[in-house]
Amino acid sequence: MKLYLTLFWFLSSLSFAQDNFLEFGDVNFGRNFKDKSKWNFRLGGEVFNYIGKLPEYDGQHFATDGEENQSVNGYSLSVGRDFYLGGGVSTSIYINGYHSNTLDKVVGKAARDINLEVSEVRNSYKMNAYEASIAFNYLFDYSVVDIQPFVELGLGAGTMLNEILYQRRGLPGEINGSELYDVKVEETFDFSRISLGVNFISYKGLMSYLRVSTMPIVVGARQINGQTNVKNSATIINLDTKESSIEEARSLTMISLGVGSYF
Amino acid sequence: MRALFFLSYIFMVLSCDTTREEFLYDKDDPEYRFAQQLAQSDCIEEARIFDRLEVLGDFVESGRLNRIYKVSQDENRKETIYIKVISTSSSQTRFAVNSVTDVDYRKIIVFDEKDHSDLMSFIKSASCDTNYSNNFSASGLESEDTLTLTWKKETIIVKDSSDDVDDEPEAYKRETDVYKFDDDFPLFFYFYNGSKTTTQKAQNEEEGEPQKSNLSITDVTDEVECNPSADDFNNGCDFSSSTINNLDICEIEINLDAYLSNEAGEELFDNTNGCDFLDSGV
Repeated sequence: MKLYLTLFWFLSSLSFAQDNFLEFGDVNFGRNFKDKSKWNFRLGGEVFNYIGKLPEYDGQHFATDGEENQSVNGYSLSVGRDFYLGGGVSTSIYINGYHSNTLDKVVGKAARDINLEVSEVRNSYKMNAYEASIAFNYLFDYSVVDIQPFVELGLGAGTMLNEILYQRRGLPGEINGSELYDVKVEETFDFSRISLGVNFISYKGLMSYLRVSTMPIVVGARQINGQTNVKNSATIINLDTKESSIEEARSLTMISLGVGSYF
Repeated sequence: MRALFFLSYIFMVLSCDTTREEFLYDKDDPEYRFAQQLAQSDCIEEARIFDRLEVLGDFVESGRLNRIYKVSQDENRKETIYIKVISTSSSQTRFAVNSVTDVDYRKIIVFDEKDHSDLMSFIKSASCDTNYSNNFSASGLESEDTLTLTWKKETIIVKDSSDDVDDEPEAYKRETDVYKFDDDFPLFFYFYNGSKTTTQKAQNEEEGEPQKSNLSITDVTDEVECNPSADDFNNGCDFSSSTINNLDICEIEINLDAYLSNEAGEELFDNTNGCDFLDSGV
């Protein structure tokens, strides 16, 4: 479903960029606009993998060895200024904001012929980040759609809140059969970003973009709040901890699609 | 406008939270039976209709002493009986049954606490125990006044032949009973409120047309047909002392094993020992 929506969105934005198709004359972005500095506004969608650190747990229907590699969806908003350097080359400076909120739910039903929810795992990721970036662009000036490959470098900071709630109902015949893993992990991090991408720009300055990024991040602090309980035990274990200056390095890969406008 | 169009795409894509289901146990797992028990107890606990029907077990409070009911078959046989609640106590309700067309139905039916309890046990198991879901289905568990229970029964007369691939017995009788449990009536009256459909197939013959018949029950206490001084008084509604004193006693016996066998023709009520009940016309 996501793939179809994404593909449809991307192809729609391309045809949108071509809405002057078959019009007479050279009406592309290049002639009157490309050799000038201009503002740029972008709105995009992001998919990235985030490796979350969690307290270890070994339950009947949920287990973690302390690391969860999760695919997270988000969106971004960018405002920047493009400076024309000459010969089709320009550089852009952006302020970017990222927000993501992903919920992954797994309902554990007893069996195909028993309509009973025995367990449920709710795994949510909420990320907020801000960033400053600089991009180096080269414009291929075509008659219908201009194509502008770019390299982008960014530096930023953010927070990631990962909440996992796993619950299992105790069954008749079991003693202390219920289970619980209710954990919130909040990490603050700094990151850098190196991206390769391409802009598709129509004569009106409307654009779509595709960007692939690698993002080394350094987690500086982590706070864990939560409690766990496993089957056959009545003991509830408190997991509250707070760590600072941990300097833990990881790397993310991010794919971005978006639309925007030069003005 | 277009910008809004694209924005909506972005939010559609990004709001795709995922939910998926997984099945935890196989029939061989020890938890399977425990899960069945839990599903059953959840079903019983959440079904509001059971609470309403349990109230009918208070015979004095809900026994509807002296109310008269008429039970009618549909077009197939057109038999009619009248039933009057002639006594209630904390442990027992007695119904007098009268008929002008068939003396076999005239009797006094004794329905006691245990019968009520057994019937409730049957209703709960049939509605909520997944072991019986192939034969029973219930609708109206969330209702406050009516529960409809469908009971599918089958008697295999000649087993499936290995010569064909239809996976159907060569000869059989199938029956589908639909019972409506209504808190307007004593629990026992469910038997007089519903329909029965039978289908038969003889060996080397096509399956016959389904035969369907209904039984319906209405409260006629205040109707002209049960007013002895009215011209249209129906003798079937005669519950004078002389009539009641001549009726034989039928002690209801509930056969809780019946619903385990699911043989066509199987009923919860044992209709031997003078307990011949008016049934649907098929």
